[in-house]
Amino acid sequence: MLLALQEAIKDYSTPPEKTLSRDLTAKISSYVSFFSECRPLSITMGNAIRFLKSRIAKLPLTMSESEAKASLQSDIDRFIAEKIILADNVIVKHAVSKIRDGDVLLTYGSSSAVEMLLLHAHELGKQFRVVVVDARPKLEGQRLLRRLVGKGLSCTYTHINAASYIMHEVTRVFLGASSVLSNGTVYSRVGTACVAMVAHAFRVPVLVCCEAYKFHERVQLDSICSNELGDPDVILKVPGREEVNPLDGHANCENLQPLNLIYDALPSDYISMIITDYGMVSPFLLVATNSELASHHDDSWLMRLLLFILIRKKTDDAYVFVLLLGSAHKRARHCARIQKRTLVDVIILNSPLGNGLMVREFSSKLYVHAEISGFGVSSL
Amino acid sequence: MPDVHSLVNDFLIKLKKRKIEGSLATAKQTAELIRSVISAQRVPYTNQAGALIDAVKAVGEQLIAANPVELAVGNIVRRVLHIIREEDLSLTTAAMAGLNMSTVSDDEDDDRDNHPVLSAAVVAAAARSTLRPPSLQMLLEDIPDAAAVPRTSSSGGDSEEKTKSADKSSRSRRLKHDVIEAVNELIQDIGTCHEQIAEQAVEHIHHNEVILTLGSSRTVLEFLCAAKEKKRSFRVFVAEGAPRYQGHLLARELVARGLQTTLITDSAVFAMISRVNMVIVGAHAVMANGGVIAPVGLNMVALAAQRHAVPFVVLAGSHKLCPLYPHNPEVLFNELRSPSELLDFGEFSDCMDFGSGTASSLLQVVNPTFDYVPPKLVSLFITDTGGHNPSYVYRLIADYYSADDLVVQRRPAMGS
Repeated sequence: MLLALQEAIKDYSTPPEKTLSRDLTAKISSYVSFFSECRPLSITMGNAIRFLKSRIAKLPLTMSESEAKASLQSDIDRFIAEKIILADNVIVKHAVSKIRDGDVLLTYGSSSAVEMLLLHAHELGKQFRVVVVDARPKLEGQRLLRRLVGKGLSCTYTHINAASYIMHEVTRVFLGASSVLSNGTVYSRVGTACVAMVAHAFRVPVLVCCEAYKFHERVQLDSICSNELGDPDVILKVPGREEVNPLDGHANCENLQPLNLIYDALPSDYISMIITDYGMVSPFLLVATNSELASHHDDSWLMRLLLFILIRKKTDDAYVFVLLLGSAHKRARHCARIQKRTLVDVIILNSPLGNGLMVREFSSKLYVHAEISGFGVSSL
Repeated sequence: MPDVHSLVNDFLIKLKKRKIEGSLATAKQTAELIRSVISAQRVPYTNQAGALIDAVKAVGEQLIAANPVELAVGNIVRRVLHIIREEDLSLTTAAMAGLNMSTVSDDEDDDRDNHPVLSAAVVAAAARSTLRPPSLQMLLEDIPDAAAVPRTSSSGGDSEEKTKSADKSSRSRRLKHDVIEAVNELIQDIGTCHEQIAEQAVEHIHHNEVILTLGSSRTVLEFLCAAKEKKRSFRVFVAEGAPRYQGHLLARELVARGLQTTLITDSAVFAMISRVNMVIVGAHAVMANGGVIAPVGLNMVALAAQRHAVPFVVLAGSHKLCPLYPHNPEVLFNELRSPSELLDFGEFSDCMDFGSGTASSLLQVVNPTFDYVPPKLVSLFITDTGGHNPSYVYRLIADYYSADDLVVQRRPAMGS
């Protein structure tokens, strides 16, 4: 999608007597509404669009059209490179440390991050086995299976109902996610929750690989309130199995309603750890972690670096702490509540331009450990 | 009796080739086969019950070995053995009571001390134990008693044989007759268990409820339809039940009978369970601890139901009650089906024989048939005798089976 928008910007020329920023935003909005007509927008797409719009809005008025376009395109390129590709690389690096020789790793469906991780671990010469669990109607696991076997990994393939049969031998479950919501719920391909639940019942750790651009501040408790519906007719037919297609003629039957959910919401208590490009965090930490991590795309490199170092250091020391980014009065109160309940240390991460007022507001409400901004770490 | 032998062999081959599907069909055919075995069995004057039991055990052992996963076979064999013992017991006690009523009444108080000597008293005590509803204590007492029954009856028979031979022969015929009668009853019970379970549907399904089921089971179908006939309006979610997709069949049947049906994929079970009032499923077998051997996927459904506090109801005819305790049931009571149900061989043929030169191929496909649902995940069993808690299953089993039949194949194995 980002590539498509990039093309659109390239082809775009500002109509006379209009400013670029206003008009382009409107144009992109129309593109986006076209996208969402074709298929409901995923959360990651929403995040990316928000990023693009904020970039457009920040363009100085004095900039010429070609310059603006070039800068936007490079921004998009940078977003893809940093948030998606680099993020995947970082995730893989983190997650590989969780794979030991002799492990049996289970994955569900097909997640690009998990695939990269498995291939990377294989390249490192780790000895492990992969269980690919799959489900109808998409059968994405078959494609993943083909790629993994092609690379020489030893794989076991099964369907989702057999998850509890195979779970005995599994030592770790790696799942992909299409989004992580701010209450820690992981919104992912339908069936992920089932697999995580079975793993939880069998006391197998569940690790979710998710890039930070997939974080979203929405909350959701179940999978029904907000979901995407796939083509219901796909459910009625089992391809390649002619002997088990009793419902062929029933597509238009009044009493029969095939239902094809695309996503489901995986409750945070089934997850042992979420691996993001910022490091490995527990879902309970994520509950408090501000999802502005994802929306503040204009944070400087320095910020991200600091954040990264900090999370690494702290998780290694097994501290629990809350990260705050940006400013919000309500969030301060919310965090105060969380802190009271969970007794966590608070570290404020501030962008270089963040105002001191906000920090003081926070520090008056909760025990703040330190503030980290673009200028460095200052203890409070 | 060559006809019986060929019948047994036919059935064995069918079992081995997995030609018979579903525990109901298996149970029924097993019972019919055993009936013909019993009717063909020549009964000696002495120890008729012992002879019958041996005959049934011999056949039963073969049947169980043919398909150890189909627990219904073993269940029916044990049920028939129990029937033989009971009939024998009631006949013996009736005869004994008629013959030496005074002895029994005299020795009733100290029968425990004279256990091996006074056979009539022992038999009477055993008869009492069968007449009373069994309790755990009675069960424990029952084991030596029931074991003693064939011996005592034979010894009793020996001593009286010369004087009462005419009476004996009529008794032997009566025993066989009674046993066949009782087996017929059993076959009938198996045939009508659907209706008896379905009769209870109205008590469990309320108006406007949402019910989830996975795969297909005739019992579930009849249960839902019975509720529908009683003018209950409700909605059914049917999960398709990979890899056999029998949920499609169930959905078609339900739609044909006018029920509001929603077909979902197995993966959507967790998503939908929060909107469901009750999960109703069939079972393959119910173990003595209240655990369920069920079609694959039900453990997942049960876990989801537990998380959302949705009652998980298992419908099972009494022929599915198995007196064994499960040990490592996921592996021991399971069966792996063909991988072609999951993967298209043509498409993956290059991967399948990827490692043909080496010891093991890179790609394995696992396709189990059954799942084990532990008793703590089951809210209720509905059998043809009513609704029961998982912890009550052992009592039901004590009703249907006698304790020394639990291991059918051990005795011949030790003998050989």
